[in-house]
Amino acid sequence: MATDLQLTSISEKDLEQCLKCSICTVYCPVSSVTTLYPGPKHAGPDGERYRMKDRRFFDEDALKMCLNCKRCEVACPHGVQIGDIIMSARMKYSRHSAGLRDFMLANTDLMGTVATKVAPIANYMTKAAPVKSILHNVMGIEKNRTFPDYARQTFESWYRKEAAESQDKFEKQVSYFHGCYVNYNFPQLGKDLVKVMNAIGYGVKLLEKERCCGIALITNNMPSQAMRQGKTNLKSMQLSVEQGRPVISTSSTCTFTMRSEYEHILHLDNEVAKNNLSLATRFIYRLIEEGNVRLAFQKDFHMKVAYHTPCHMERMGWAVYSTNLIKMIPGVDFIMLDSQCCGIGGTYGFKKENYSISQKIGEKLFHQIQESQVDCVATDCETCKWQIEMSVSTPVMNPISILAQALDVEETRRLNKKPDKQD
Amino acid sequence: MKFDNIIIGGGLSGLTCGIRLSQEGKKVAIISAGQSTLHFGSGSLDLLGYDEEGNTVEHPLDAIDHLNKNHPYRKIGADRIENLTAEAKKLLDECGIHMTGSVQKNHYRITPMGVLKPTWLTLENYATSPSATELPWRSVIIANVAGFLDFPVEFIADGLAKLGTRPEVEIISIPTLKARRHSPSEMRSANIAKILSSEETLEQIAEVLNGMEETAEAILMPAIVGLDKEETEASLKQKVRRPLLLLPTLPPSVPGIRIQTMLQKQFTHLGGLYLLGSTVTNGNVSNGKLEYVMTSTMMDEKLTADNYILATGSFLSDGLKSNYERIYEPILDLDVEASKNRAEWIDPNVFNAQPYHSFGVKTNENFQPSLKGQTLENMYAIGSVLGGHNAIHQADGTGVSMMTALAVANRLINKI
Amino acid sequence: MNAGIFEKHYDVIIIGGGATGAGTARDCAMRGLSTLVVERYDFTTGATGRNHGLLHSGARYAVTDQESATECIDENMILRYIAKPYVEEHDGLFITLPEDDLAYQEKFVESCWKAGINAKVIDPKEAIQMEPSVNPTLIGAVQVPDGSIDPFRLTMANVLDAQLHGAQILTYHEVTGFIIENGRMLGVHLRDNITGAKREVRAEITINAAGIWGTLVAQMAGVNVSMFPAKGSLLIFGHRVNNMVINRCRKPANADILVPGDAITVIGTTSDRVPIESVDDMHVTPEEVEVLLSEGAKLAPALATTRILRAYAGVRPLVASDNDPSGRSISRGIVCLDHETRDGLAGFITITGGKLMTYRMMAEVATDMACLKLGVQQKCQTATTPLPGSDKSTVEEPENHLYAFNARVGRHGTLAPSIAAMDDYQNSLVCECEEVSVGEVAHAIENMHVRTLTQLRRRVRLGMGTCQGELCALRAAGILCASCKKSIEEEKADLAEFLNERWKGMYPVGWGPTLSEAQLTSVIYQDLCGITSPSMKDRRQEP
Repeated sequence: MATDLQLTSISEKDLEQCLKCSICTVYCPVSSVTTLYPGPKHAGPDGERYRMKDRRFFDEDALKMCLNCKRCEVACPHGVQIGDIIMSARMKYSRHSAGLRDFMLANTDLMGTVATKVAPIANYMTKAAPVKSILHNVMGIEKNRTFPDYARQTFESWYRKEAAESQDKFEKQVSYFHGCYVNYNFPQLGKDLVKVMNAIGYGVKLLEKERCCGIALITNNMPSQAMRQGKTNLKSMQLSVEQGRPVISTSSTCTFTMRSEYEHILHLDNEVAKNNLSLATRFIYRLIEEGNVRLAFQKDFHMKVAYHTPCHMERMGWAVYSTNLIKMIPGVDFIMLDSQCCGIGGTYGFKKENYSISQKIGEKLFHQIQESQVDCVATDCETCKWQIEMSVSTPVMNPISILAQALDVEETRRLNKKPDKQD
Repeated sequence: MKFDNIIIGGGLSGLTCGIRLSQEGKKVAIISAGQSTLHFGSGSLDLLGYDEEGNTVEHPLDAIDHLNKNHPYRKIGADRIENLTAEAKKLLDECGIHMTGSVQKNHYRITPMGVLKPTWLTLENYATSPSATELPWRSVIIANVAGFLDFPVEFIADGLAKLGTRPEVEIISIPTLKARRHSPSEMRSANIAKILSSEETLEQIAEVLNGMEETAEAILMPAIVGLDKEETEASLKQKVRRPLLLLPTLPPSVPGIRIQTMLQKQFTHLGGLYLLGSTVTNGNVSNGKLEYVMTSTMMDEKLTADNYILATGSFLSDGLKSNYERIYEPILDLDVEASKNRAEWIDPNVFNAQPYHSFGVKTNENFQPSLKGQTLENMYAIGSVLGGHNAIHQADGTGVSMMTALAVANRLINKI
Repeated sequence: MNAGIFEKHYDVIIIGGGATGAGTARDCAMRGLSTLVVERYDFTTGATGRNHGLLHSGARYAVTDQESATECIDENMILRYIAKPYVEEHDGLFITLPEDDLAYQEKFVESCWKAGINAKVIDPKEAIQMEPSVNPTLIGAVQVPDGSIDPFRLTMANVLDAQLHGAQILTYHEVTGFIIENGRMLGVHLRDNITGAKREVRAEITINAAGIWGTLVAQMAGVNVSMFPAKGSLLIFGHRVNNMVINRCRKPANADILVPGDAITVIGTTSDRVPIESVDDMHVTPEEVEVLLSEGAKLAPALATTRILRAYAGVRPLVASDNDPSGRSISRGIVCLDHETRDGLAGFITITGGKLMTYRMMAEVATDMACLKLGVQQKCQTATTPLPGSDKSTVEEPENHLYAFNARVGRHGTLAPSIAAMDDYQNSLVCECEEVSVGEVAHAIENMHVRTLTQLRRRVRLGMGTCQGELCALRAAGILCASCKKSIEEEKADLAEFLNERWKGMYPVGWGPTLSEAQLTSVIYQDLCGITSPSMKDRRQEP
């Protein structure tokens, strides 16, 4: 008689592990503030059983309300990939192709390329009242949203001009997946990363080819483009790893997308990302912990910092690395904010139909930030940064930028320079 | 990453142990696969409600010696339990979890079916009775929220009436709660409690409650306030002119979630690291010691500690697993106390004591588990992952969680 | 509600509330006979509610039993028309595995065609594309017009239509004896199984449609109908593994049919002769589970790793004709006995044999016989008149809650609009797995002879989903209480019984998530709520 019967319970995204305990429903930020979303249990494993029977059970309007925060998955005691079930259902059963608005929001690469070329105009335009009104009324992009400014020079072009050459002299190197935000909107973060990595003795290279990680394409239902871009990124990562360079990123969402969504939603073979792609804070912290790197800080650096855990950071379980790193800075007065969604959900909060939900979700977080009276909020996600900066007056920084500010670069460089390698 | 102690499982036992160890300055990490069974809790902590024959226990301390010798309490010893209960009470107080009750004599909680069950500690503001046969009120109003199905008032009213208390059922609502009902699936206790967290909505509810006829001595309400903090309950009580008491509902449990949140807050406040949504996948045992554990989230990161504490719970928490062939502990495949014959796992009558409820990880007197017969020197098992008792039939699950957590924590503290 | 029911003299009393009894009631009532159905428990508690729910194409019997095969395909086409919402038309495959004889396929297809079944040989690769869960090592495949049918809803639709045509229904009334005078059956003695009250009712003709229990019923009347109780066990998997029926293309054997229905998949069956005394208490044995799993995994390998929700067993009412120990080669054909000519007992008819698929034809045969005796000329119209819920009217889609709407239409067809769904309360979900709303529960209580949770389950699938009643049982019990049909004590007992009934199906497959689920259910109902079985409770009341 067969001996391998019923030894494991295998089902798509562990659907059958769901015990219907309803714990996930407690932690859904969306169903907490609106009744339009039926909650993760109903939209996820409950609904999927019936969608398997008949596509008519796919309630697109309801499922679109999921902001893909995956907090249901973090809460689930049985590892049911609730968020993935919902996101995959949207892709599998939807018969609508993305409209112009979603296309624009999702194509961060394309928009960024065009906009940085005409950055001052683009920045003016996206803030101008008539333009915003058109965006709002015609396209459904929320008028209360401010698009992040586009930089005059992309990170990539800065890098090629100013940094590329000097990176080769480092014996150890990493590849940096900068992401769209660093490239088009905020090159300073990329510059900060290069500064920190160089200080600890690592050269920073770019990937042979980098495309947007595709998270916005996934959430806006453009899977084939997401898959194309994913394949390009994975191929570049493979090449980098073969050349002895692990890959780091400063965005928790890009990192999460390539480590998790590529596999669970796009069904790409992403072993290379799972084994070699890390967040810069994790990479640095582990070097320090293993005794391979030492940091020196400026004596006069003082900052009161509150850390906000982005949803995808929570799902990855890596907030500990960023916070431990920040806490190493002697001049930092550290506060841990309650881990909760800020409400932006990437492009979710930019859509006018979601704006009020988005702001309601973030309310408690905003309140806590204001109460904390910190100099800055630290977080690893660019869209959380936009949301928080649009909602409270506290500035938001990536932990790497805080590190870059606090670091005594010269001293750090000296500490990490191997004596025999002096040039 | 290196810690003094790594606790696998972040529910009642894991957190209790983690807090106790952190209080002594230990560097502790708790790795929790997900939210815990406190989410199905009653707002009470039971020590020992029934003996092995199903008789109600009035004086739990006296009953411990009569338990079978595999019961975790017997391993701790009846004499030590009393001290540990005092320690537990103190720990809860320090976390801001205010509970009343005595280890000398059980009191009774009122279930969502209107039945009395013996228990040890109950959250302040929750309805209890000192007696198994009557309630402290002659008449009460049971005020349920319109459309809230997880609080079967008919049963509760009947149960109270049988105990000699005249119940009056009132269905209440306010606009924000009415709006919540647009969702067919999410009119749940926790969602309602999120709405009833602002002063404004509390005022409105209080106004409705105060508008009721003043014949009843007390108002009983489902546990739909106080999700994040006790103060919300206090604030509502203060606004209502009559004594207001809460009764547990079907899950999710608002009081249970608050206990979880408060314990977790205290643990992180004491410097502990709480990793949620991370499953310990495996570990390496060598020379009778666990050397490190690996997790589902932290890639190649080995987490190491001097001592490891398994607090992963029973089947419903995946602390124990079963398949067509066997019962097993999924992380290290530790030795378990369980029948090898599947037919002996269950009883055909669901209300009889189910053998599988008593299965658990096999340990020595110090709660140290073993692997293929060899005791793991630096590992301990606490809480529902332990066998030797039937928590459902003896009403001792939460007690076992706290007692074993503290017993092991104290052992680790005193070891140095 | 039952006023006057016992005083009336009926044309026909039908014993049995399964598909055949309900179908016969519908036929009789449609032909203008005054009709009473008596059922000792609830509808569909016998073999009707304990089978695959397969809408047979007849292909399974084509080689061994042409007559049954022809009956099946004829009724198959009729049911697609008269019971549309209760049928899923997804077709089936008969697959040949390497261990099977491919030569059988040719004979099989030929026999199908002879019986009028449209069987089409397809390339194994195409079969895998059509049904990805099928065993990929298959070497042959035939596509046939199999489907699935919900026996609970089918039976209920027949009951509703019988009532619409004036039939009376008495559930929980058991026949305890017959009124027989001078070689003629004049009526039945009844016991109300809830109150214990004793009654008698009279009719010109009594039709025994009690399935396997028909042999005992006949015995009470002093006639012998020798039956062959063949137990068949089945397993329910947690979600739809397949979307087409998968059968083995070989002589019928154990566990060779895999049927998708609603949100689940069913594998079955085994076949073993059991003593007639045991038919009221069927348990699935570990050996049967083993056979079902190991054979089932050959049809669809995923079954080896798919969560199992339940195991259950039914007893086929085969009419004994030889000494075949398995019962497999006994005809599934219809047996209609005129006890007047056979045994000299006038006014008594037994309709038995057959199967769910041919319930309507059985009803027609029995009703024809009754009409002949009563001198009624009306012709049978049940094959051409759609059942309630199956008419041609269209149901308008609402703006929101589409999912719930589809669940309602799926269960009730064009009757769905009569379910209240206007306000928030009516829309609230009682059972989340199966999307059963307060309105639907109320509708069932009002219109479908519901007074217990188990009845509710049979009518609207409440508690049939993944969690087997973890939260919904208590929610529904609250609603049943509020509907004021019974006392709280009664409802508490009902709840305890429901929980035990769910457990009965779970424990034979009590491992993996199903065992964990059971523990969570115990935590909620026993630990948190303090529900005990009556005996336990009594003990606990004594401190």
